Amino acid sequence: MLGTLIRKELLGNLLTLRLGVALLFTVGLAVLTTVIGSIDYSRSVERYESELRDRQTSLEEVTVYRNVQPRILVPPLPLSIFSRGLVQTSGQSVWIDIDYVPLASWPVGSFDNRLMNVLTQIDFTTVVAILLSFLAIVLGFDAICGERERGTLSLVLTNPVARGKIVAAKLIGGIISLWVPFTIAFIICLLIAMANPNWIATGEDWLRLGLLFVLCCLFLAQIFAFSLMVSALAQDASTALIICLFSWLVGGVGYISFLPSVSRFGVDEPAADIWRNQNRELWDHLGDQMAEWGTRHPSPGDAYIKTVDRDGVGRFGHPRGYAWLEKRHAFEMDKRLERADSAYEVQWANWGALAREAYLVDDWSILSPFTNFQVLCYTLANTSLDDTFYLGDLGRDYRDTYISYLRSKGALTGRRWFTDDAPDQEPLIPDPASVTTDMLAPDSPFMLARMAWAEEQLRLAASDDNRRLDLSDMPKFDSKWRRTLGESLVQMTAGLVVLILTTGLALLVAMQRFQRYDPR
Amino acid sequence: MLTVFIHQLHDNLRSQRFQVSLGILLLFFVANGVIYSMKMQRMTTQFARSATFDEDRYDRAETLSDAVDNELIIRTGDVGVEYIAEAGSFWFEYGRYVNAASGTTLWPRSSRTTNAWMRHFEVLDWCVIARYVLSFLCIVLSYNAISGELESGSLRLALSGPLSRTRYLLGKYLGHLVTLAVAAAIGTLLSLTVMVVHGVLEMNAAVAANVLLFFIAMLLYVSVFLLLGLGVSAWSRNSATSLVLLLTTWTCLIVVVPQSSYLIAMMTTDPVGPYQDRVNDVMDEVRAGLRQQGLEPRPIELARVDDYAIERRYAARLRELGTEVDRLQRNVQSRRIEQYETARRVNLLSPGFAFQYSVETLLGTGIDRYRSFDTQAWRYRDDLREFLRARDAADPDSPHILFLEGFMSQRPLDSDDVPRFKERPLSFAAALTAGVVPITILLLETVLALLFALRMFNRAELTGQTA
Repeated sequence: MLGTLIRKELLGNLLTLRLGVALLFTVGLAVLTTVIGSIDYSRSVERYESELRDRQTSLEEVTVYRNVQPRILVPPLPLSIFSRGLVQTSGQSVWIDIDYVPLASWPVGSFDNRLMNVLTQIDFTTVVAILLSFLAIVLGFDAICGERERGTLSLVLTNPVARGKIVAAKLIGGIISLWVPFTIAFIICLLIAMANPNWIATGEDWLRLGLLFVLCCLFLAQIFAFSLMVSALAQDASTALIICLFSWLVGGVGYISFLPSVSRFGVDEPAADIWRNQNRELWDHLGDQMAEWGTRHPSPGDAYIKTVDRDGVGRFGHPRGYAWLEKRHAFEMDKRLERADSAYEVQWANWGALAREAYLVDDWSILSPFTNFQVLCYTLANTSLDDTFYLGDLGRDYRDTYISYLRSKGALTGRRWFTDDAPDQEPLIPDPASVTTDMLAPDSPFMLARMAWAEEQLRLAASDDNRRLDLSDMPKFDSKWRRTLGESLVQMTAGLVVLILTTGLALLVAMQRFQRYDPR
Repeated sequence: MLTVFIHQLHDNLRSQRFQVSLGILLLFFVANGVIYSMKMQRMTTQFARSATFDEDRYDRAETLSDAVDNELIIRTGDVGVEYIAEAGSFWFEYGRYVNAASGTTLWPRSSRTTNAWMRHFEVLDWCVIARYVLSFLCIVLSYNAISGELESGSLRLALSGPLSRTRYLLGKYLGHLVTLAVAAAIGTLLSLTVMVVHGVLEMNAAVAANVLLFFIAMLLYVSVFLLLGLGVSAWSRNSATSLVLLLTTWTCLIVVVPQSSYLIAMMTTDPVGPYQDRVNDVMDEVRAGLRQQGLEPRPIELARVDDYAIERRYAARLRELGTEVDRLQRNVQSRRIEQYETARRVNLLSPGFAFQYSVETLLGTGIDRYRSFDTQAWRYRDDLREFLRARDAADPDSPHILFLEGFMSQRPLDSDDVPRFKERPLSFAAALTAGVVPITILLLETVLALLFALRMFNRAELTGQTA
């Protein structure tokens, strides 16, 4: 009997105009978003790979420690095609630098066009959250009260069927009718993603995709159960429709735009200029410290410390000058590391407020099924806010590892930090004691002659492979760079519980109400 | 016609769906009031705070020569109509780094803190409320305006008298229009009250004028959807079909088209890419080349000997470089705006955005204001250079090497004398000329919707059975 009822519901739903139109829209928009998502994904793969190549070559060719600029780069996330989340703005790379303690991850490459931020950007999960939920409402609102108005309900009830079974049949029939367009759209989108040669999903990604599918189905069931409940509670179909549509408008469009604004402007954020000024003061302080060191350790004179600087490498200094520069460098490094730590504190004091604002949005998202669903999708796709900071944390750890590596190599105290000169290198100014200030002017005949010599030496240095640093023992960034599925699921627990509980509750109310429903 | 109008008004006000609609509409407007109370307060304090920071930059230079290479920040605050139409002012870069030195260019700078971690959907200004909620209400109110009366048979009764169909339709339309206008008026008043109570807004003639302009555009926009609803309702002769058709149209025009504009613009226009790196590369390359040729500013005592021969050549090359990077920068800027304009053109397919952009035009905000700010920023740098040049010319001891730090007048400079940037708001006439397209489209759409409704209703079969 249940089977017959479900079949009746399915036929009643699937052959209607509304489902046909909805199917067209859903598939159209889903395809559009996925194509764009796929193009964006290819672009990020391109950026990621070229960045990776650049980094690789620079690591191979680097001759001084100053120029070793390791960078954490993680490949684009396969699921970001479906649920882009924060990937666009918060990205997939972390800078590792002596002067900077990373806070979070950043996009690879600089930001394209800020003007485009004004427009809304959607992905597949948004299509589900906005458009398919709309369909769920349109299918569900008159499931019970509509039948009463048409008089078919009393007809059905004359059969010896339990009322609970009728509601169950309506629910199952409705949900399956929703899943049909959704599944079609999902499969088409999956095919589009798979057609992209850059798109490579691991086993875990496929598992996540499967869960994403299930999550979307659950969400649709939730919305349908809600409209079924309204249908059982309302007097007539038009009231039910109005309640459902307005809930959709308020919970969907309204809440999605309301929440970020309220959170953004409800939290007090310090001015960015304060942080920038503090940061500048820290640099000034470093400058003062260095100047103070300079007065205590006077330089041997310009002629000794004059070097030819190209691409971050200083060359052809006088040995006495190098000895002094080395001492200065050892002192400076300590102070620079200290400065970086203070700068991190200062920056976090400013950016912490921004992070709190964004976290608040995620926390309060649980109140509306639409936003709750979105956050669940982001978490599943590893594109949530938390994942950004997760990578940032790993970046800080890796920076520590990197610095202790530099320490173990003596790079923080030795001259290899800034020069690749061999110990027996002829200096630019071989006999500084005999050089006058006039001779040091850039256009003096002496300097012009010496610079011509230096150019020749630079040409030799460029083709000298022995100058390259051996970085084979440098620790690589090989931590697990994103949350495992288990960790993601733990993060999703609260949202999932709410999703399932509200669905169950809506069904209970619908059942309860239908038991005493007057079919006439 | 008047009877139909009053009758409709009465019916609407008593109907449950109108009461629910009103409640929702008011909810949105109150939310708007609350959000913008906080937002405008934040914007004002933030702007005042940055203004002091920016002002400090002027004081960094002690002599005219220092002032040449003193990087200044100019920015402009809000126009005060953000609660009606924010028009992207939160994302547009209403700020510039300005440096008068040769070989530099103007860098865009955001005028306020943005939060890259924040998800964003749409901002809840009046335009968005009208675009989504009001148009939705139009459909909810009008989907069975004709078909419902046809089904209940009251339409035949009404038209059996001497009342012409056109007049009947206009009466119905005006009834709905006034209902919605009253609802919107209550909503906007609530929103304004919240903001006035919070002290972020002062009621004055300018605010009243803005609200009035918003209402004019809004009435046109509401008319489009109302007339569409009436027309479809007459054509389909069946309330359920009419509702499905209208909701579909609404979803397509209000949700689907605008959501796809970003995607289409990104696909059809070339990405600007990391242009900052490109500009920086050009600058670095030229500077490195100069250094290699031994062209570098010397200490001033050394340079004086040969009457600054090297410095003159150096500065001349920097001026060339400056022209080059300015050209690059302007080119990038126009391409960025072009990309945005492409998205805008897609959006214009939706009446919602014809309305949105009309309001932006009428209020002198949006992309036109951004363009005007851009022009003014470039002009400001010219003014700044002209000021420095004139001051420098008055000093006989100066080497007069234009815009090279250290080689212009060494006289002390009172930072108060340096001209300050002040944005000139877009004049109404200029805004109108720039934004003539959306306004024309909005007007055209209203007229078309009217013709559609009239034609459908006049041709509707009233005697036969309903479908």
